[in-house]
Amino acid sequence: MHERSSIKDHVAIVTGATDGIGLATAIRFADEGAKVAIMGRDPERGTAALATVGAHGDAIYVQGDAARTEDVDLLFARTLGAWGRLDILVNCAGGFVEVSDIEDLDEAEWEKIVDWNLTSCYLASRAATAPMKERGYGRIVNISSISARDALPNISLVYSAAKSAMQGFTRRLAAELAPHGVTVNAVAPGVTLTKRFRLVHQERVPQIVASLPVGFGGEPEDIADAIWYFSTPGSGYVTGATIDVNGGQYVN
Amino acid sequence: MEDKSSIQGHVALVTAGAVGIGEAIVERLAYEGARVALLDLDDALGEAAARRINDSGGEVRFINTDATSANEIKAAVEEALLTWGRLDILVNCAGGFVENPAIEELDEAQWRRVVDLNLKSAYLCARAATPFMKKAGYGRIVNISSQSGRDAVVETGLAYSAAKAGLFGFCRRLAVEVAPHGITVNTVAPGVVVTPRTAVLHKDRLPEIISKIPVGRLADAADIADAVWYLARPEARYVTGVTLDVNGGRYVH
Repeated sequence: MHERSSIKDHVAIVTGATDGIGLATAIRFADEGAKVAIMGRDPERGTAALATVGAHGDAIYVQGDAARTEDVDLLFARTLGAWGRLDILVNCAGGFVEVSDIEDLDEAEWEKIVDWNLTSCYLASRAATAPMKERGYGRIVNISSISARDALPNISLVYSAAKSAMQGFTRRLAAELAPHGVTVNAVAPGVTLTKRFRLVHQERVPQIVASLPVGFGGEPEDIADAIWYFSTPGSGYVTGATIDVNGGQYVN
Repeated sequence: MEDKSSIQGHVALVTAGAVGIGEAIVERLAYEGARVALLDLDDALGEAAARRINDSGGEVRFINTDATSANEIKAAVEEALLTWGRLDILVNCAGGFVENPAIEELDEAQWRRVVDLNLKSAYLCARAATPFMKKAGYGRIVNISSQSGRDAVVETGLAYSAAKAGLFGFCRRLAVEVAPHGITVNTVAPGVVVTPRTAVLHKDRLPEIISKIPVGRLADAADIADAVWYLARPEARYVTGVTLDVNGGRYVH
Protein backbone atom coordinates (compact mmCIF):
# COMPACT_ATOMS: atom_id res chain seq x y z
CA MET A 1 0.00 0.00 0.00
CA HIS A 2 1.15 3.51 -0.81
CA GLU A 3 2.25 5.38 2.31
CA ARG A 4 -0.23 8.14 1.47
CA SER A 5 -3.06 5.68 2.02
CA SER A 6 -1.96 4.06 5.26
CA ILE A 7 -3.77 4.74 8.52
CA LYS A 8 -1.93 1.95 10.32
CA ASP A 9 -1.58 2.81 14.04
CA HIS A 10 -3.68 5.95 13.65
CA VAL A 11 -6.21 6.54 16.41
CA ALA A 12 -9.81 7.08 15.38
CA ILE A 13 -13.01 8.02 17.17
CA VAL A 14 -16.29 7.06 15.52
CA THR A 15 -19.54 8.24 17.09
CA GLY A 16 -22.79 6.46 16.32
CA ALA A 17 -20.69 3.39 15.69
CA THR A 18 -22.71 0.59 17.19
CA ASP A 19 -24.62 -0.06 13.98
CA GLY A 20 -24.91 0.68 10.28
CA ILE A 21 -22.48 3.06 8.60
CA GLY A 22 -20.62 3.88 11.82
CA LEU A 23 -20.00 0.23 12.61
CA ALA A 24 -18.86 -0.50 9.04
CA THR A 25 -16.47 2.44 9.32
CA ALA A 26 -15.04 1.23 12.63
CA ILE A 27 -14.49 -2.22 11.13
CA ARG A 28 -12.83 -0.74 8.05
CA PHE A 29 -10.51 1.34 10.21
CA ALA A 30 -9.59 -1.69 12.30
CA ASP A 31 -8.92 -3.66 9.09
CA GLU A 32 -6.59 -0.88 7.97
CA GLY A 33 -4.64 -1.17 11.22
CA ALA A 34 -6.05 1.84 13.06
CA LYS A 35 -7.07 1.81 16.73
CA VAL A 36 -10.74 2.66 17.11
CA ALA A 37 -12.86 4.12 19.89
CA ILE A 38 -16.58 3.74 19.29
CA MET A 39 -19.48 5.43 21.01
CA GLY A 40 -23.18 4.70 21.07
CA ARG A 41 -26.06 5.04 23.50
CA ASP A 42 -27.29 1.48 23.78
CA PRO A 43 -24.91 -0.58 25.97
CA GLU A 44 -26.14 -3.89 24.62
CA ARG A 45 -25.49 -2.89 21.01
CA GLY A 46 -22.25 -1.26 22.12
CA THR A 47 -20.95 -4.44 23.68
CA ALA A 48 -21.85 -6.42 20.57
CA ALA A 49 -20.23 -3.81 18.30
CA LEU A 50 -17.07 -3.83 20.41
CA ALA A 51 -16.82 -7.60 20.03
CA THR A 52 -17.22 -7.25 16.26
CA VAL A 53 -14.73 -4.42 15.80
CA GLY A 54 -12.37 -5.98 18.36
CA ALA A 55 -12.13 -9.07 16.14
CA HIS A 56 -10.61 -6.84 13.42
CA GLY A 57 -8.20 -4.81 15.58
CA ASP A 58 -7.71 -2.67 18.69
CA ALA A 59 -10.96 -1.13 19.88
CA ILE A 60 -12.68 0.38 22.90
CA TYR A 61 -16.33 1.17 23.45
CA VAL A 62 -17.55 4.12 25.46
CA GLN A 63 -21.22 4.13 26.32
CA GLY A 64 -22.74 7.55 25.91
CA ASP A 65 -24.76 10.13 24.04
CA ALA A 66 -22.71 12.12 21.51
CA ALA A 67 -25.01 15.11 22.07
CA ARG A 68 -24.01 15.37 25.77
CA THR A 69 -20.84 17.25 26.65
CA GLU A 70 -19.95 15.00 29.64
CA ASP A 71 -20.24 11.86 27.54
CA VAL A 72 -18.14 13.32 24.74
CA ASP A 73 -15.51 14.43 27.25
CA LEU A 74 -15.40 10.92 28.66
CA LEU A 75 -15.02 9.46 25.16
CA PHE A 76 -12.03 11.69 24.41
CA ALA A 77 -10.45 11.15 27.83
CA ARG A 78 -10.68 7.38 27.44
CA THR A 79 -9.35 7.44 23.88
CA LEU A 80 -6.41 9.71 24.64
CA GLY A 81 -5.80 7.78 27.86
CA ALA A 82 -5.63 4.50 25.97
CA TRP A 83 -3.57 5.57 22.95
CA GLY A 84 -2.23 9.07 23.63
CA ARG A 85 -3.16 10.64 20.31
CA LEU A 86 -6.06 11.31 17.98
CA ASP A 87 -5.79 11.26 14.19
CA ILE A 88 -9.33 10.73 12.96
CA LEU A 89 -12.79 11.76 14.11
CA VAL A 90 -15.88 10.49 12.31
CA ASN A 91 -19.12 12.19 13.31
CA CYS A 92 -21.62 9.52 12.45
CA ALA A 93 -24.07 9.89 15.35
CA GLY A 94 -27.47 10.96 14.14
CA GLY A 95 -30.71 9.89 12.63
CA PHE A 96 -34.41 10.57 13.03
CA VAL A 97 -37.47 8.65 14.07
CA GLU A 98 -40.56 10.50 12.92
CA VAL A 99 -41.51 12.31 9.75
CA SER A 100 -44.02 15.05 10.55
CA ASP A 101 -45.54 17.86 8.53
CA ILE A 102 -44.22 21.20 9.74
CA GLU A 103 -47.43 22.08 11.63
CA ASP A 104 -47.00 18.92 13.69
CA LEU A 105 -43.27 19.25 14.24
CA ASP A 106 -42.96 20.41 17.84
CA GLU A 107 -39.98 22.20 19.31
CA ALA A 108 -38.91 19.29 21.49
CA GLU A 109 -38.63 17.05 18.43
CA TRP A 110 -36.80 19.81 16.53
CA GLU A 111 -34.25 20.22 19.30
CA LYS A 112 -33.77 16.49 19.79
CA ILE A 113 -32.97 15.85 16.12
CA VAL A 114 -30.73 18.91 15.84
CA ASP A 115 -28.89 17.68 18.93
CA TRP A 116 -28.45 14.14 17.64
CA ASN A 117 -27.16 15.21 14.25
CA LEU A 118 -25.60 18.66 14.54
CA THR A 119 -24.80 19.43 18.18
CA SER A 120 -23.06 16.06 18.48
CA CYS A 121 -20.90 16.95 15.50
CA TYR A 122 -19.96 20.30 17.05
CA LEU A 123 -19.20 18.82 20.49
CA ALA A 124 -16.92 16.07 19.23
CA SER A 125 -15.17 18.36 16.73
CA ARG A 126 -14.54 20.86 19.51
CA ALA A 127 -13.04 18.15 21.68
CA ALA A 128 -10.90 16.85 18.81
CA THR A 129 -9.39 20.17 17.85
CA ALA A 130 -6.89 20.55 20.69
CA PRO A 131 -5.18 17.14 20.32
CA MET A 132 -5.17 17.46 16.53
CA LYS A 133 -3.77 21.01 16.49
CA GLU A 134 -1.10 19.98 18.95
CA ARG A 135 0.27 17.40 16.53
CA GLY A 136 -0.46 19.47 13.42
CA TYR A 137 -2.46 16.64 11.91
CA GLY A 138 -6.06 15.52 11.85
CA ARG A 139 -8.91 14.21 9.74
CA ILE A 140 -12.52 15.04 10.63
CA VAL A 141 -15.27 13.41 8.57
CA ASN A 142 -18.90 14.38 9.06
CA ILE A 143 -21.68 12.13 7.86
CA SER A 144 -24.29 14.25 6.15
CA SER A 145 -27.05 12.85 3.94
CA ILE A 146 -28.57 13.00 0.49
CA SER A 147 -31.48 14.71 2.27
CA ALA A 148 -29.15 17.71 2.71
CA ARG A 149 -28.62 17.84 -1.05
CA ASP A 150 -32.05 17.19 -2.44
CA ALA A 151 -35.69 17.56 -1.36
CA LEU A 152 -36.88 14.19 -0.09
CA PRO A 153 -40.41 14.38 1.34
CA ASN A 154 -40.13 10.99 3.07
CA ILE A 155 -37.27 12.22 5.22
CA SER A 156 -37.75 14.26 8.38
CA LEU A 157 -37.68 18.02 7.82
CA VAL A 158 -35.52 18.75 10.83
CA TYR A 159 -33.15 15.95 9.87
CA SER A 160 -32.76 17.50 6.40
CA ALA A 161 -32.08 20.87 8.00
CA ALA A 162 -29.55 19.49 10.48
CA LYS A 163 -27.73 17.46 7.83
CA SER A 164 -27.52 20.56 5.61
CA ALA A 165 -26.17 22.51 8.54
CA MET A 166 -23.41 19.93 8.88
CA GLN A 167 -22.19 20.96 5.45
CA GLY A 168 -21.97 24.61 6.45
CA PHE A 169 -20.21 23.52 9.61
CA THR A 170 -17.82 21.42 7.54
CA ARG A 171 -16.90 24.23 5.15
CA ARG A 172 -16.41 26.79 7.88
CA LEU A 173 -14.44 24.51 10.22
CA ALA A 174 -12.29 23.36 7.30
CA ALA A 175 -11.15 26.91 6.67
CA GLU A 176 -10.41 27.40 10.37
CA LEU A 177 -8.38 24.24 10.84
CA ALA A 178 -6.58 24.08 7.48
CA PRO A 179 -3.46 25.92 8.70
CA HIS A 180 -3.08 23.25 11.39
CA GLY A 181 -2.94 20.26 9.06
CA VAL A 182 -6.48 19.25 9.96
CA THR A 183 -8.95 18.55 7.14
CA VAL A 184 -12.71 18.58 7.59
CA ASN A 185 -14.89 16.93 4.97
CA ALA A 186 -18.37 15.48 4.68
CA VAL A 187 -19.78 12.35 3.13
CA ALA A 188 -23.39 12.47 1.96
CA PRO A 189 -24.77 8.94 1.65
CA GLY A 190 -27.80 8.10 -0.39
CA VAL A 191 -29.75 4.84 -0.02
CA THR A 192 -27.74 2.65 2.33
CA LEU A 193 -28.94 -0.85 3.06
CA THR A 194 -28.52 -0.81 6.82
CA LYS A 195 -30.62 -2.95 9.09
CA ARG A 196 -32.62 0.14 9.96
CA PHE A 197 -33.23 1.05 6.30
CA ARG A 198 -34.54 -2.45 5.57
CA LEU A 199 -36.73 -2.30 8.66
CA VAL A 200 -38.25 1.07 7.75
CA HIS A 201 -38.81 0.34 4.06
CA GLN A 202 -39.52 -3.40 4.21
CA GLU A 203 -41.08 -4.61 0.96
CA ARG A 204 -40.36 -1.29 -0.79
CA VAL A 205 -36.60 -1.94 -0.76
CA PRO A 206 -36.38 -3.71 -4.16
CA GLN A 207 -38.37 -0.90 -5.80
CA ILE A 208 -36.18 1.79 -4.21
CA VAL A 209 -33.03 0.01 -5.28
CA ALA A 210 -34.28 -0.49 -8.83
CA SER A 211 -34.85 3.26 -9.12
CA LEU A 212 -31.17 4.04 -8.52
CA PRO A 213 -29.04 4.68 -11.63
CA VAL A 214 -26.49 2.05 -10.59
CA GLY A 215 -29.27 -0.49 -10.00
CA PHE A 216 -28.09 -1.61 -6.58
CA GLY A 217 -28.31 -0.22 -3.08
CA GLY A 218 -25.20 0.93 -1.32
CA GLU A 219 -23.97 -1.16 1.57
CA PRO A 220 -22.61 0.48 4.73
CA GLU A 221 -19.17 -0.59 3.48
CA ASP A 222 -19.58 1.61 0.38
CA ILE A 223 -20.05 4.65 2.60
CA ALA A 224 -17.22 3.55 4.86
CA ASP A 225 -14.91 3.48 1.83
CA ALA A 226 -15.48 7.21 1.21
CA ILE A 227 -15.06 7.97 4.92
CA TRP A 228 -11.83 5.98 4.88
CA TYR A 229 -10.51 8.02 1.92
CA PHE A 230 -11.06 11.32 3.73
CA SER A 231 -9.28 9.77 6.74
CA THR A 232 -6.07 8.95 4.89
CA PRO A 233 -2.97 11.16 4.96
CA GLY A 234 -3.05 11.25 1.15
CA SER A 235 -6.31 13.22 1.01
CA GLY A 236 -4.69 16.15 2.82
CA TYR A 237 -5.36 18.65 0.03
CA VAL A 238 -9.08 17.90 0.11
CA THR A 239 -10.85 19.98 2.74
CA GLY A 240 -14.27 21.55 3.14
CA ALA A 241 -15.61 19.16 0.52
CA THR A 242 -18.69 16.99 0.48
CA ILE A 243 -18.71 13.80 -1.52
CA ASP A 244 -22.01 12.24 -2.55
CA VAL A 245 -22.06 8.45 -2.27
CA ASN A 246 -25.44 7.57 -3.67
CA GLY A 247 -25.17 5.52 -6.82
CA GLY A 248 -26.01 8.50 -8.99
CA GLN A 249 -29.38 9.20 -7.35
CA TYR A 250 -28.48 12.83 -6.91
CA VAL A 251 -25.44 14.39 -8.51
CA ASN A 252 -23.91 17.62 -7.25
CA MET B 1 -5.49 -7.62 5.96
CA GLU B 2 -7.89 -7.83 3.06
CA ASP B 3 -6.88 -5.46 0.28
CA LYS B 4 -9.91 -3.28 -0.31
CA SER B 5 -8.31 -0.97 -2.81
CA SER B 6 -6.69 -3.04 -5.49
CA ILE B 7 -6.45 -2.04 -9.11
CA GLN B 8 -3.74 -4.67 -9.56
CA GLY B 9 -3.80 -5.88 -13.16
CA HIS B 10 -6.31 -3.29 -14.30
CA VAL B 11 -5.66 -1.44 -17.54
CA ALA B 12 -5.79 2.34 -17.55
CA LEU B 13 -5.65 4.92 -20.29
CA VAL B 14 -4.50 8.41 -19.32
CA THR B 15 -4.49 11.34 -21.73
CA ALA B 16 -1.84 14.05 -21.42
CA GLY B 17 0.14 11.64 -19.28
CA ALA B 18 3.64 12.88 -20.04
CA VAL B 19 3.97 15.77 -17.60
CA GLY B 20 2.41 17.42 -14.56
CA ILE B 21 -0.86 16.05 -13.23
CA GLY B 22 -1.16 13.41 -15.96
CA GLU B 23 2.30 12.05 -15.28
CA ALA B 24 1.56 11.84 -11.54
CA ILE B 25 -1.65 9.95 -12.30
CA VAL B 26 0.16 7.47 -14.56
CA GLU B 27 2.80 6.99 -11.88
CA ARG B 28 0.27 6.39 -9.10
CA LEU B 29 -1.89 3.99 -11.10
CA ALA B 30 1.24 2.08 -12.13
CA TYR B 31 2.40 2.00 -8.51
CA GLU B 32 -0.95 0.48 -7.55
CA GLY B 33 -0.42 -2.29 -10.08
CA ALA B 34 -2.32 -1.05 -13.11
CA ARG B 35 -0.94 -1.30 -16.63
CA VAL B 36 -1.14 2.13 -18.17
CA ALA B 37 -1.39 3.47 -21.69
CA LEU B 38 0.16 6.92 -21.50
CA LEU B 39 -1.25 9.11 -24.25
CA ASP B 40 0.45 12.35 -25.18
CA LEU B 41 1.40 14.45 -28.17
CA ASP B 42 5.03 14.85 -27.17
CA ASP B 43 7.21 11.87 -28.11
CA ALA B 44 10.25 12.89 -26.08
CA LEU B 45 8.35 13.67 -22.89
CA GLY B 46 5.99 10.72 -23.27
CA GLU B 47 8.82 8.23 -23.81
CA ALA B 48 10.82 9.70 -20.96
CA ALA B 49 7.92 9.51 -18.49
CA ALA B 50 7.10 5.93 -19.50
CA ARG B 51 10.74 4.91 -19.17
CA ARG B 52 11.13 6.55 -15.78
CA ILE B 53 8.03 4.84 -14.36
CA ASN B 54 8.90 1.50 -15.94
CA ASP B 55 12.39 1.70 -14.40
CA SER B 56 10.75 1.68 -10.98
CA GLY B 57 8.66 -1.38 -11.78
CA GLY B 58 5.69 0.04 -13.67
CA GLU B 59 4.13 -1.26 -16.86
CA VAL B 60 3.51 1.83 -18.96
CA ARG B 61 3.24 2.12 -22.72
CA PHE B 62 3.51 5.46 -24.44
CA ILE B 63 1.16 5.99 -27.38
CA ASN B 64 1.53 9.22 -29.33
CA THR B 65 -2.02 10.52 -29.54
CA ASP B 66 -3.82 13.77 -30.20
CA ALA B 67 -6.69 13.66 -27.72
CA THR B 68 -8.82 15.85 -30.00
CA SER B 69 -8.63 13.38 -32.86
CA ALA B 70 -11.35 10.74 -32.91
CA ASN B 71 -9.26 8.46 -35.12
CA GLU B 72 -6.15 8.68 -33.00
CA ILE B 73 -8.11 8.06 -29.79
CA LYS B 74 -9.80 5.06 -31.36
CA ALA B 75 -6.43 3.70 -32.45
CA ALA B 76 -4.93 4.22 -28.99
CA VAL B 77 -7.82 2.41 -27.29
CA GLU B 78 -7.43 -0.45 -29.78
CA GLU B 79 -3.70 -0.62 -29.12
CA ALA B 80 -4.27 -0.80 -25.36
CA LEU B 81 -6.82 -3.57 -25.85
CA LEU B 82 -4.55 -5.44 -28.24
CA THR B 83 -1.69 -5.19 -25.76
CA TRP B 84 -3.52 -6.04 -22.55
CA GLY B 85 -6.96 -7.32 -23.56
CA ARG B 86 -9.00 -5.08 -21.27
CA LEU B 87 -9.72 -1.47 -20.34
CA ASP B 88 -10.84 -0.66 -16.81
CA ILE B 89 -9.90 2.96 -16.22
CA LEU B 90 -10.01 6.07 -18.39
CA VAL B 91 -8.57 9.32 -17.08
CA ASN B 92 -9.36 12.36 -19.18
CA CYS B 93 -6.53 14.67 -18.28
CA ALA B 94 -5.89 16.38 -21.61
CA GLY B 95 -6.50 20.09 -21.38
CA GLY B 96 -5.04 23.51 -20.83
CA PHE B 97 -4.98 26.86 -22.50
CA VAL B 98 -2.32 29.18 -23.88
CA GLU B 99 -3.72 32.68 -24.13
CA ASN B 100 -6.11 34.64 -21.99
CA PRO B 101 -7.53 37.43 -24.12
CA ALA B 102 -10.48 39.66 -23.30
CA ILE B 103 -13.72 38.30 -24.78
CA GLU B 104 -13.70 40.78 -27.69
CA GLU B 105 -10.28 39.46 -28.68
CA LEU B 106 -11.14 35.80 -28.26
CA ASP B 107 -11.56 34.52 -31.81
CA GLU B 108 -13.53 31.48 -32.80
CA ALA B 109 -10.52 29.41 -33.74
CA GLN B 110 -9.03 29.89 -30.28
CA TRP B 111 -12.35 29.19 -28.60
CA ARG B 112 -12.80 26.00 -30.55
CA ARG B 113 -9.22 24.82 -29.91
CA VAL B 114 -9.58 25.20 -26.14
CA VAL B 115 -13.05 23.66 -25.95
CA ASP B 116 -11.91 20.76 -28.12
CA LEU B 117 -8.85 20.08 -26.01
CA ASN B 118 -10.59 20.34 -22.62
CA LEU B 119 -14.10 19.07 -23.30
CA LYS B 120 -14.42 17.34 -26.65
CA SER B 121 -11.39 15.17 -25.84
CA ALA B 122 -13.25 13.74 -22.84
CA TYR B 123 -16.23 12.92 -25.02
CA LEU B 124 -14.08 11.29 -27.70
CA CYS B 125 -12.19 9.17 -25.18
CA ALA B 126 -15.32 8.14 -23.29
CA ARG B 127 -17.04 7.26 -26.56
CA ALA B 128 -14.13 5.08 -27.59
CA ALA B 129 -13.84 3.38 -24.19
CA THR B 130 -17.45 2.72 -23.15
CA PRO B 131 -18.21 -0.11 -25.63
CA PHE B 132 -15.48 -2.22 -24.04
CA MET B 133 -16.37 -1.18 -20.50
CA LYS B 134 -20.02 -2.01 -21.13
CA LYS B 135 -19.08 -5.41 -22.46
CA ALA B 136 -17.05 -6.05 -19.31
CA GLY B 137 -19.80 -4.61 -17.10
CA TYR B 138 -17.16 -2.52 -15.38
CA GLY B 139 -15.41 0.78 -15.83
CA ARG B 140 -14.04 3.85 -14.08
CA ILE B 141 -13.93 7.17 -15.91
CA VAL B 142 -12.33 10.14 -14.17
CA ASN B 143 -12.22 13.61 -15.71
CA ILE B 144 -9.77 16.26 -14.64
CA SER B 145 -11.54 19.58 -14.47
CA SER B 146 -10.32 22.66 -12.62
CA GLN B 147 -11.22 25.12 -9.94
CA SER B 148 -11.58 27.47 -12.92
CA GLY B 149 -14.73 25.55 -13.79
CA ARG B 150 -16.15 26.09 -10.28
CA ASP B 151 -15.15 29.61 -9.47
CA ALA B 152 -14.33 32.86 -11.28
CA VAL B 153 -10.59 32.75 -11.84
CA VAL B 154 -9.65 35.63 -14.14
CA GLU B 155 -6.08 34.41 -14.60
CA THR B 156 -7.33 31.47 -16.65
CA GLY B 157 -8.83 31.70 -20.12
CA LEU B 158 -12.56 32.19 -20.59
CA ALA B 159 -12.92 29.28 -22.99
CA TYR B 160 -10.96 27.14 -20.53
CA SER B 161 -13.30 28.02 -17.64
CA ALA B 162 -16.31 27.28 -19.83
CA ALA B 163 -14.92 23.96 -21.06
CA LYS B 164 -13.85 22.86 -17.57
CA ALA B 165 -17.34 23.68 -16.25
CA GLY B 166 -18.71 21.74 -19.21
CA LEU B 167 -16.98 18.64 -17.87
CA PHE B 168 -19.26 18.73 -14.80
CA GLY B 169 -22.40 18.53 -16.92
CA PHE B 170 -20.82 15.92 -19.16
CA CYS B 171 -19.85 13.87 -16.11
CA ARG B 172 -23.27 13.99 -14.42
CA ARG B 173 -25.14 13.13 -17.58
CA LEU B 174 -22.80 10.36 -18.71
CA ALA B 175 -22.74 8.91 -15.17
CA VAL B 176 -26.48 8.32 -15.22
CA GLU B 177 -26.32 6.83 -18.73
CA VAL B 178 -23.64 4.27 -18.02
CA ALA B 179 -24.47 3.51 -14.36
CA PRO B 180 -26.48 0.37 -15.21
CA HIS B 181 -23.34 -1.06 -16.84
CA GLY B 182 -21.12 -0.91 -13.77
CA ILE B 183 -19.31 2.15 -15.05
CA THR B 184 -18.81 5.18 -12.81
CA VAL B 185 -17.98 8.65 -14.11
CA ASN B 186 -16.54 11.23 -11.76
CA THR B 187 -14.56 14.45 -11.91
CA VAL B 188 -11.66 15.82 -9.91
CA ALA B 189 -11.38 19.61 -9.73
CA PRO B 190 -7.83 20.61 -8.74
CA GLY B 191 -6.82 23.98 -7.40
CA VAL B 192 -3.45 25.41 -8.37
CA VAL B 193 -0.98 22.56 -8.77
CA VAL B 194 2.79 22.86 -8.76
CA THR B 195 3.75 22.12 -12.37
CA PRO B 196 6.26 23.68 -14.79
CA ARG B 197 3.28 25.37 -16.44
CA THR B 198 1.84 27.02 -13.31
CA ALA B 199 5.31 28.16 -12.23
CA VAL B 200 5.45 30.26 -15.41
CA LEU B 201 1.78 31.25 -15.47
CA HIS B 202 1.64 32.61 -11.93
CA LYS B 203 5.29 33.35 -11.27
CA ASP B 204 4.99 36.78 -9.65
CA ARG B 205 1.74 36.07 -7.89
CA LEU B 206 2.51 32.81 -6.12
CA PRO B 207 2.79 34.27 -2.59
CA GLU B 208 -0.53 36.04 -3.03
CA ILE B 209 -2.18 32.90 -4.40
CA ILE B 210 -0.82 30.78 -1.58
CA SER B 211 -2.01 33.31 1.01
CA LYS B 212 -5.58 32.60 -0.13
CA ILE B 213 -5.33 28.83 0.17
CA PRO B 214 -6.40 27.69 3.66
CA VAL B 215 -3.94 24.78 3.80
CA GLY B 216 -1.15 27.23 2.98
CA ARG B 217 0.48 25.54 0.01
CA LEU B 218 -0.09 24.74 -3.64
CA ALA B 219 -1.19 21.23 -4.53
CA ASP B 220 1.32 18.64 -5.59
CA ALA B 221 0.37 16.69 -8.67
CA ALA B 222 0.46 13.65 -6.36
CA ASP B 223 -2.46 15.13 -4.37
CA ILE B 224 -4.58 15.08 -7.52
CA ALA B 225 -3.38 11.61 -8.46
CA ASP B 226 -4.41 10.39 -5.00
CA ALA B 227 -8.02 11.49 -5.57
CA VAL B 228 -8.03 9.95 -9.06
CA TRP B 229 -6.79 6.67 -7.64
CA TYR B 230 -9.51 6.72 -4.96
CA LEU B 231 -12.23 7.11 -7.61
CA ALA B 232 -10.64 4.57 -9.98
CA ARG B 233 -10.79 1.68 -7.49
CA PRO B 234 -13.49 -1.00 -7.66
CA GLU B 235 -14.57 -0.11 -4.11
CA ALA B 236 -15.74 3.37 -5.15
CA ARG B 237 -18.61 1.70 -7.05
CA TYR B 238 -21.36 3.71 -5.32
CA VAL B 239 -19.77 7.09 -6.11
CA THR B 240 -20.82 8.38 -9.52
CA GLY B 241 -21.58 11.68 -11.19
CA VAL B 242 -19.74 13.66 -8.54
CA THR B 243 -17.00 16.23 -8.51
CA LEU B 244 -14.31 16.00 -5.87
CA ASP B 245 -12.60 19.33 -5.19
CA VAL B 246 -8.92 18.97 -4.39
CA ASN B 247 -8.03 22.56 -3.72
CA GLY B 248 -6.74 23.00 -0.19
CA GLY B 249 -10.07 24.48 0.93
CA ARG B 250 -9.73 27.54 -1.29
CA TYR B 251 -13.13 27.09 -2.80
CA VAL B 252 -15.61 24.73 -1.29
CA HIS B 253 -18.72 23.72 -3.12
